[in-house]
Amino acid sequence: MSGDRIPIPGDYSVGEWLRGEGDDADVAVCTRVRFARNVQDYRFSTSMPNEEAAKLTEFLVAQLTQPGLREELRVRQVSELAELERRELLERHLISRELATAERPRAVAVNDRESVSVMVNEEDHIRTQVFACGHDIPEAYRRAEALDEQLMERVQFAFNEEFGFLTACPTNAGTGLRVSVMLHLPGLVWAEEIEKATTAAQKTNMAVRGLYGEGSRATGDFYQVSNQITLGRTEDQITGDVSSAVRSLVAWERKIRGALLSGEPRSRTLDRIYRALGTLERAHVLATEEALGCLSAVRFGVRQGLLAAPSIAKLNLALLLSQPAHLQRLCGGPLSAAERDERRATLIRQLVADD
Amino acid sequence: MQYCTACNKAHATVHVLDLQDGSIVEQKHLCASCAENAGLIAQKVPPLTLHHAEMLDLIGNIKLTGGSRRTDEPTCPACELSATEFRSRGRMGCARCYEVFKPSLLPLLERVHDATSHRGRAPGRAPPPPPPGDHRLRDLRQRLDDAVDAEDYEEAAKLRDEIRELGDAGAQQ
Repeated sequence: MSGDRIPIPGDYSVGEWLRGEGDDADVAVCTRVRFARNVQDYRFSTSMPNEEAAKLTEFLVAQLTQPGLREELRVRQVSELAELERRELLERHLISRELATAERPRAVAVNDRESVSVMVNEEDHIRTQVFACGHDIPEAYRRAEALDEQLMERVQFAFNEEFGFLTACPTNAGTGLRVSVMLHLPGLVWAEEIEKATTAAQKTNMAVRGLYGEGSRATGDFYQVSNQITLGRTEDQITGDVSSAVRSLVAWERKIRGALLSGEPRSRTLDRIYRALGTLERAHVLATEEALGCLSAVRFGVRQGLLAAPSIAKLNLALLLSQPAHLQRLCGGPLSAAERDERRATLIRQLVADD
Repeated sequence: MQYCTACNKAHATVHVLDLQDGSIVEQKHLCASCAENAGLIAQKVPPLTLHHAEMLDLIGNIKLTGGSRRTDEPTCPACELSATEFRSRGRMGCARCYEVFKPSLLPLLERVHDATSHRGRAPGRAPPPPPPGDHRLRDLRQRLDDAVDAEDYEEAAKLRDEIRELGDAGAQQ
């Protein structure tokens, strides 16, 4: 079994968030804009009996699939999905942990490119999310707002003049808008400046989270920067706030990368990158954390023009398929932790060698 | 108590044993400071991110939930969420809760958003969603009672009609 090739479909798509293109792509992985909305007259999802939740889900799914919507969405009833399928959607950022694990009737509507995902009966009745690769807040915002406007023509949302759009958690009230940009910050992490950088971002009212949002760790040196404030500022101000925080973090990261690759630190940095490449090319057992750490180092090397291969596309594929649910789905079913580490190493060796 | 094998000054609290084939081939006994320098233990405690006010809130919660439930505390007439539940879950039960819990909500909004009122987009008009069922009727009846108490008969008549309509729809179903 050990070392058997893992079949990966040639047209395998990693989704919009990992396309690896767009503005500031050397540092910014993707941008996400989401609106939280609740339907007028219904209790919020977390307080709703299942019967009411089922009725509301049915009503909202009908609105999302009715012809004329600017995005073509395919609906999945989350409660009907197998555990591994739910976790796979979570790893693709199409659903949240809350939607994956809640027990009430709930659904998700996603477009083909996976650039739009609308969660139904999450903590709020509707969470519309739009992804754009790289640092592209205007594009993600434009599409999210247009879809939100269309939904507002179909559904009356809970709103009052004083508090704006009403959400289950008051931390989302007002605009219900969360703009986040995922950044790859190996330079700041390696130079031990990441704490200073996240503190600086937090001082401008930004939240800094790990790869999988609230409470998740910053594995693979990925950090999500998003607005903390949703009330009392206009949508334009909020997108501007996040954009300026992201611009300064991107500039800081680039400066540090330059410093790590010149003078005395250069040989240590190169050593770290090439050792990581060696591990990916040769290892036979790789835990998620180690795999993501090595993929991060190699990505750094590729983005700085030090390594010609593997391509960013291959690294992104490796990053996604290394995640436990993706790996198990690809290998045809549940695997023990030890089996996963072996299969992960095999998969990555295969991807790196194929380039 | 053993002394640190690196500095020989402080008591050793970190013991490193190198094993090969099940037997110890090397031993190190280090004090906390030398272990930190050797990168064997974390140097810093992660920064506490809770704000002072949030800590007070948590303490408030413990006090509230620890004692017997207050019977005079505000409860949302639409979803029956109590102030205690709101404080412990940090989640509203429905849109009406924003009015009911306004006194405790305002300082929370001020702290999180540095603001207490909305500036941004507003929704247009859309057809009302289908009635959620009993809960809506209950809510309307409560609002009818309130309107009658306030002698707002115009509003009361409107609400009565809405209740009739809902009742009819319910009966047809």
